[in-house]
Amino acid sequence: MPLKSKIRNFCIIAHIDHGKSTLADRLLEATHTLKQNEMKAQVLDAMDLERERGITIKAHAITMKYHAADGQDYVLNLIDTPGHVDFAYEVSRSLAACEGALLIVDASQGVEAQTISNLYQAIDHNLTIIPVVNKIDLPGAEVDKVKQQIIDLIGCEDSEILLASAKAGKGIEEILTAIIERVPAPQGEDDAPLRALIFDSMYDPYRGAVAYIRIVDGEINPGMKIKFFTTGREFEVDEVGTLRLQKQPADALRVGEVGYCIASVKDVQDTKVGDTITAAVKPATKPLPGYREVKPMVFAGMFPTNNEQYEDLRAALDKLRLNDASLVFEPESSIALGFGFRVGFLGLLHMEIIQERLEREYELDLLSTMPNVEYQVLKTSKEVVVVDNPAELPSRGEIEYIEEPYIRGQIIVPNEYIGNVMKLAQERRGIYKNTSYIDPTRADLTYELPLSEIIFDFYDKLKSTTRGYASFDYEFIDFRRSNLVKLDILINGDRVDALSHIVHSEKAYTWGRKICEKLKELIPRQMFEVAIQAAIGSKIISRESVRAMRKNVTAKCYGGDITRKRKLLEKQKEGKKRMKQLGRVEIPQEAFLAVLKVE
Amino acid sequence: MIASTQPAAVSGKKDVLSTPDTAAIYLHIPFCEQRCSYCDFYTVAKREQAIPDYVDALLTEIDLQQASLFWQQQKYSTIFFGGGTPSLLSVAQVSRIVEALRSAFFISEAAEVTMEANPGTVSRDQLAGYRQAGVNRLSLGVQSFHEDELRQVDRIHSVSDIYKTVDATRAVGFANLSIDLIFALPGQRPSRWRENLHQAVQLAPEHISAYNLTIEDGTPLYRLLTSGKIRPLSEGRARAVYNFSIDFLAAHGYDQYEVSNYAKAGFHSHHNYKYWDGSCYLGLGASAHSFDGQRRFANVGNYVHYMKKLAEGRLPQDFEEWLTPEQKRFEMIFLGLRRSAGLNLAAYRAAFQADFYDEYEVQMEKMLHGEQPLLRLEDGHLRLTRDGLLLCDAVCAEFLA
Repeated sequence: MPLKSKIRNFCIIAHIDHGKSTLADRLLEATHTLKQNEMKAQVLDAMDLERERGITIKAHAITMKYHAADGQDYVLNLIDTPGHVDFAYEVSRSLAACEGALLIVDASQGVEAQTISNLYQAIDHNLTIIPVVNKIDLPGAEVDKVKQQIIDLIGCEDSEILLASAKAGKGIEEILTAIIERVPAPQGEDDAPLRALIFDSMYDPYRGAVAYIRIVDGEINPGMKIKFFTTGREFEVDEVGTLRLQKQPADALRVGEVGYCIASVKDVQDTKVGDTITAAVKPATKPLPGYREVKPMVFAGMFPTNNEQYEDLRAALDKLRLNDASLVFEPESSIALGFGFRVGFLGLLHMEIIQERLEREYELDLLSTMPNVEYQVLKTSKEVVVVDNPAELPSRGEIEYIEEPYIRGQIIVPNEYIGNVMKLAQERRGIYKNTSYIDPTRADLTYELPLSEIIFDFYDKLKSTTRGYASFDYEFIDFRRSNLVKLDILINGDRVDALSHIVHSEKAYTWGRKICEKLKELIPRQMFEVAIQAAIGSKIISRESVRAMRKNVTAKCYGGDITRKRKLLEKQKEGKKRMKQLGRVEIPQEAFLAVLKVE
Repeated sequence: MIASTQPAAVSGKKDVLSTPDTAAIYLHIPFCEQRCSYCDFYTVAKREQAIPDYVDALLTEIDLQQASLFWQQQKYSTIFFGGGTPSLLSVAQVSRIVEALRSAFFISEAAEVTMEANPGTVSRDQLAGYRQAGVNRLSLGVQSFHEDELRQVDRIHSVSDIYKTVDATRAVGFANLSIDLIFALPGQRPSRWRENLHQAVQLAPEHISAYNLTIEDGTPLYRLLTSGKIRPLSEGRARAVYNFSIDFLAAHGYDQYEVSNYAKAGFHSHHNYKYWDGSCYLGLGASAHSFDGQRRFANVGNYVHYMKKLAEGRLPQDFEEWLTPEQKRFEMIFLGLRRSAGLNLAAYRAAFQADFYDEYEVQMEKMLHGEQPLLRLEDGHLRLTRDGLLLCDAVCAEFLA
């Protein structure tokens, strides 16, 4: 059992690709936490998807033992943080479990928006910041410039900034020494009632929900009765321990320690990130601060292409929810797409990940509708309804007004692209707030934007209009009144509920036209003409048509042609498998995401 | 008892061969003087010196197939020499083959024996000889009555060759003549195609096959297409040309009995029908396909390999597929719909113990009704409307599970 004074809890703040995972791997090597043959590149990114996308989706933690230059043995707990804005709350909880943070900045890229927002959060949590300039041996490295950015940002001394190349293994010992010398040892009351912060949780099919915890006060041990503050539910602890490459059971976890707790909890809905675990007998009076119910921001319908897979989809979502407390869903039925679920996500990346996992791990063939945000609608009856599905928006006559979620967005961009960014933000109904400068060449712009305007392709557009230099981060602020209308799409006169969406009235005409054009492009010619219309209420604002096929008949069919021709027709049919039949019309799946592709 | 093989009248939409009980024999003669620019059949140019050995191989194959109980038990009502250019065979070679077939298999005296021939490559004596050998139907690869179009598709004959050859076939007594035409050539103007049709009916053949040009992968035309040197006729133009052809030929007494086939009353091709009504057929020669009701199989395409295998006394098959029940259903449907007679629903029920309408309700709802129906039901048959015929492939694909 380590002495409190010999524990150091820290995390790493870095922008994607600035070398966080590589650095983490080096620390594990240098502390002999992993033997060389146990090293997979980037150990912390455990999911295949994470490794492919080069980002950390879920937070993880690992305990290292380090024999320092002062001759003492230390326990270092690295608590990893997710690398995407969708998971900002999880980041904040990971930060809350630490006393220090390594700030990693790429020597050629400099400070980026996401780094800054996470850094400010870390400073808010009173974390000691250890700045590290990484990738110093790359050809484009501008060490002095980046150092100056960091000095301007956190007001540190030049001498406090460490230089490293995680890839080449340079500067690793210096970083470890700095962690021990600069990061404060944990505080906390040994004899107080147990308070443990859940900063992550995962589902183990054999053992149920596993909470990853940081002990703030008291201690936790097997056999003990514990209670979760938010749910009030009580469980008996089966096992606690520390996180090495595998879980290492321990007789107890005490103040300052980071580890796991298994207590026959059925699913992660009971081990919510940010919640506090206390003792069932003599509980703490107050939970740790900062718990927040994580709310989905983005919603989309998910439908199995084959409606017989509805049950399978439900089972798969249930399973994913075991491991993802932020995933919410409820059954939805669509005239166009049959039975499915309306699923809520933290953001667009979260949505992509869920969809990809459903398709990959559960072999489901899914069709998802265009994602949308949640709207608050005040009806003329003074009733407020929350609408997360455009098809369910009350009729215009019943609506007093609609409110939509707004976010505060922070965009860091080289000066020469400020104009482009401002133009983009304006197109997206952004309200300009502020400009400050990271250094003489880079600006930090603040905008307030409707969330609906950034969930589609804002980030991609931002990247392309700034040649990839801009970085972006955002946080939810509030709901605001907007002049919004529901745009419906009619195919051969029938409203396709899954294609309805809510847009700002000033954009409705242009969007209607562009969506019709896009659908015309996406819907292949069929045996009958296909009429595509966009409408607001009963008013048609745009129309296009896909002309019928004119001739589709192969001339010859004798002898061996029969096999060949049958195969050709089978192929023709195969191409239609991913199409949805609406009346007499076949709509390709991409059509349901057509709006995303509108320029 | 052999079923009557007298040409039965194809009066309107009567399904004359709805109960196939005789089989067909196809012989593939892959040799050509020159390859046509649209052709993707297995053919070889300038290898005529191999013909005698090839004929020997054919005779060996006949011998080997004779040993098959299945083919031995069939009764045959049609023989078809296709190619390639079968008229590169001498009269003596054709005689040997026909005689071998007749001694090996149970072939009706009145069987339809067709031979494909190219205008200008057959003399009057040769034609007389073929007729003597038992050939009673000639299919002439005319393709066009315009010299420039003939050159466009690399045909070796001239327009005058066509008239000479047709006259010769009549003079030697052929009473059943078919001519092949090809339409929708790149850049072909409607008036030129109308002239082709006009010339064709002036010759008064008993049968006309008019094929929309298909630019197949790997053909010289395909290379011209991909290199942007030619552009296919637009779908709209091809539709108009096809529509016009059907109407024009009907007005001149040629009833369309299949997508690309037209005949005067009583002169539809029995052999063609064999492919479409589920009959068995035995294919002989390189690349020839056979069907025994359950299994479709084919010989190796390369004629050298074909001859080598047979010289070793082995059947030269290199492809076979056993039809699944679904494939059988679908073949019956799409081969039925391609014919004017349509799909015989009673025959479908008999073959699959299932009601067609019950099984394909969705498709029927979609295509049988509305402003522009693609299908119609008439006296127990499901048929394509004209609109449906123009979209035959798309309509048929709907019936796949």
